[in-house]
Amino acid sequence: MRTVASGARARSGNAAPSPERSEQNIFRGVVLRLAALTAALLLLSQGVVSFLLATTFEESLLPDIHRKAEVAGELAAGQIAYALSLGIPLDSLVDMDVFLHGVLERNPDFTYLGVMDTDDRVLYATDTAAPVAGADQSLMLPITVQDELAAFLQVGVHEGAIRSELAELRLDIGTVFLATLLVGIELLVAFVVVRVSGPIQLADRLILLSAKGDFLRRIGLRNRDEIGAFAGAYNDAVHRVNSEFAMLTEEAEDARAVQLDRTVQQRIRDVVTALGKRFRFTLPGSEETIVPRSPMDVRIPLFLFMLAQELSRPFLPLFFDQLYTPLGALSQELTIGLPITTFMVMVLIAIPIGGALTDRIAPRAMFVMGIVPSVAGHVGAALSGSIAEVLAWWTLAGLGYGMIFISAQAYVAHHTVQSSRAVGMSGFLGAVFAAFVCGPAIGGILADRLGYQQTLLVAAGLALFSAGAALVTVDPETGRGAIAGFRGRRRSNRSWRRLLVQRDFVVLTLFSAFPTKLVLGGLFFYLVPLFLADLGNAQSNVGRIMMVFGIACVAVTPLAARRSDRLERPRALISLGGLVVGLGCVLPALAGSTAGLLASVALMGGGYALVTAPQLAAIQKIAERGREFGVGPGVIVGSFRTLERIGTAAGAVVVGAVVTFVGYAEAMLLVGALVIACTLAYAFFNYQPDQREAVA
Amino acid sequence: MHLNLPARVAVNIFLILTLAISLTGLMNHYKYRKFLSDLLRDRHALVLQDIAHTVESTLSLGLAVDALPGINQSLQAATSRHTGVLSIEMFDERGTVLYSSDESLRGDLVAREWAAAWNATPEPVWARVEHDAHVVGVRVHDSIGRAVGSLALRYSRTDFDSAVRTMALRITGICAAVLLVFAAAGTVLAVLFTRKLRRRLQSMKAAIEQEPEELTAVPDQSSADFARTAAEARRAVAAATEEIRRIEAAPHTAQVAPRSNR
Repeated sequence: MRTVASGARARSGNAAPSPERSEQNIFRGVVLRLAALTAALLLLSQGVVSFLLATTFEESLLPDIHRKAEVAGELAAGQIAYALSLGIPLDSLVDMDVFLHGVLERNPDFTYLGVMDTDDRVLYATDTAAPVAGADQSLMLPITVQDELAAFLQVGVHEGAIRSELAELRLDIGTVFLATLLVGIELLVAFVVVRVSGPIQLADRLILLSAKGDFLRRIGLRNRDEIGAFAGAYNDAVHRVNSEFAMLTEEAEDARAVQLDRTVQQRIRDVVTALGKRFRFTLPGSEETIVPRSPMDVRIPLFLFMLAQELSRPFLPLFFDQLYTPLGALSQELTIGLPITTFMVMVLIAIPIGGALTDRIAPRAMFVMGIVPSVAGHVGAALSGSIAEVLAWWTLAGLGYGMIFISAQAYVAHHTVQSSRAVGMSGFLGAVFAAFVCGPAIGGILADRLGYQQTLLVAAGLALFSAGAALVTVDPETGRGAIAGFRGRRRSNRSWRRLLVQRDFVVLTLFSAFPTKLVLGGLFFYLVPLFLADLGNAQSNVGRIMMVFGIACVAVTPLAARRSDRLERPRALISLGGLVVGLGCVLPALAGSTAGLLASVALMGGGYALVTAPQLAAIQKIAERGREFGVGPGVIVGSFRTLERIGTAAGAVVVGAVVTFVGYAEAMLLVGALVIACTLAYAFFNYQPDQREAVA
Repeated sequence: MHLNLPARVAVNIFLILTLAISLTGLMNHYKYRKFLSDLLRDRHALVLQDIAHTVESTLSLGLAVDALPGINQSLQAATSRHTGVLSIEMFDERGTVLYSSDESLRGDLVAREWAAAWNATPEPVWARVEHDAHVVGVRVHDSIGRAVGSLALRYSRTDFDSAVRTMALRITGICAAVLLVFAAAGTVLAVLFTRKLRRRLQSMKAAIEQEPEELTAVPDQSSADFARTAAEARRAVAAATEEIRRIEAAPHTAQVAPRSNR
């Protein structure tokens, strides 16, 4: 059995439909409309649910919020009653202005406080305006002394302020809306590709082949719908042609067998051979079955796995901090960064080993195998009682992550030809980014409700589920047996030496890739959750703020990629992105608040996205002329990736070491200064060749 | 299971909507629960802060923390004034109850978890959840700012549990209603949106199944091409069969034995 993508590769394009024909494909419109329909239904239904829930919550919570204001007012009234119970006359209470202003300051919902006697004369009041009908609510609280009414405390409560308490809840609802919408869209994309457009494209392609006289293939579809019925009719037609040809060859064989005259035998053979020149037949029943396969098959399992991985993103360092026990001479800050680093180091180790193994046992098997250490790592981490235990388990989870990452990447590579690899990889990255956006938000809410350990167990369950999804959607045969050219090439010491004297490569890696990855691993993975929690943010808020990084990446990446393609020299974007990342790092030191950190995360995400695509373009340019200095393009890109990952891995311990000596904001400032310095160095080193080129 | 295309699309839309709406409902339920829990905690913390203010004012007069006058009465008054409050206690740094709305508890030790919660958080307000009640606590400081103990208020979780249960039912109702409405709309639209595609697939199927000359109109160029090529192939096979028979039947051909099963 072959898959449509590998079949396409084998045909090397001459039998594939032309791009013009693809554009004219009548099914395209229907598929697009179906996708639009599901997306619109998803968006609208989520919007309606979110709106109705926001209204219901408001209706349910407003009385409780009012009650809170009442209690605050009653407590102030109680203090006045206490003074009166000591025998002080109502009109002789001292420092009432100070007292009433103090109450007003402690209760931001209050707009006005006034003490009135039983004849409704105002004796003391704040200098703010009395309650306005409609905008404010007025509470008239009795002040009683020994069960006798002595006075009233009038409290103006700002209705808007009360409602603003619900604003955070609405923000949460909005976050949930966005996160679940992304989950739904991921499922939608997979459904449309796997169930509708994939089979139709396959049928379309095989029909084109058969229309040219090729009856060697059948459509491997088991759908019991119109597409399946059409595929069945096609298969029957192919089978009928092949059966008739089989009968002919049988008859020809029989006829030849009884002929004594060799010339007659040859004439019979020529009749059959002549048919083979115009048509391509095979034995009926032995037609090659082509199954609609695409890189999208792996998207849902990968998305689910990445979502599981990202659920713990907003609390991981906080969880490690909770389990902290002294580990040798290491500081607490450095120790809690260690599991993040060892995880990344294990990813670094697992990727080349997993890549080689994937060629032997097929990506699906590798994906499922990778789930074992990942689930074990999550469960083990959840049940850990000390930092040493969690360090071991989380490192194991890193092994699973690396194995799954490379297996998914290999699957995409097997199902794409060179020209469509970028599109295939963008689908792969789409799943990663979608999880990057919604994972922290959902994880934060779960951690708020269930706690860290239980959220890790939920993540383990989700990872296990992703293995189930892989068993259902991913082709078990794809990539079984090594494919030349895909397996990671060994990088010899000589290659490294040749590479590390290339100025462009060193400058790009050292002054751009390394600092930005340091920010990702050290600040985003490690420091930001700790800093946000330190500023008093609830776990769900930490998740929501971290989600902004993913959103900024998703928003800026396509723009940066397009711009990078247009620009001859992507260096300007790399420099700009580096400066934006640096500014983002510096910002919390200037505004050490949650809002400042939110802006910082957005800038870091945006800057990171600005840098990533141009970095790839720059490394591709270096790779293109790699033969000049005796290093293959694959080795150059692979080496760059390895060094990048070392930067990510080093991030947590480097920043952890810095945080040992300075505060969070200062640590971010220092990293920001380093990033800005590196970016300036990058710009400086790239400016010089530009000048030389100009002179030349 | 045989499902036509619109039904298949509708089932998939239903599954996607169910998952997304369930996730939204669940997450929002968690948010509601957290918000209400925080709101009730803050409201009861206000009561405690008021009492703490009184206690700290009395402490500033130089009285010992275990010899403050009228505190038991204040705690009893606050307990009876605020519905849902089960008890209020004040304990010292060793966890010994100094004052309580229930005087019989004086001298007892508070739960170890209370003392741990009080010590664990640097915040002035701490909270715990017990199986039958919520607990909120506020630190009490002496005149030099040293924490000398904590006030703890236990309030019933019956109202909270009931509100959360009621909201869970309402969320389920809203989600189910929206799901049904949108799934129904999705089904109708799926039928409409796939009508053209189904017709096309049916005519393509017909084109493949019929002989090219039987086709009245060309529904799809590639299917018609395929049907023509298939027919051409069958005709070529038939012609080749005839040709072989003609060769066999020719008078000059010498056979080992005549074939009888032709």
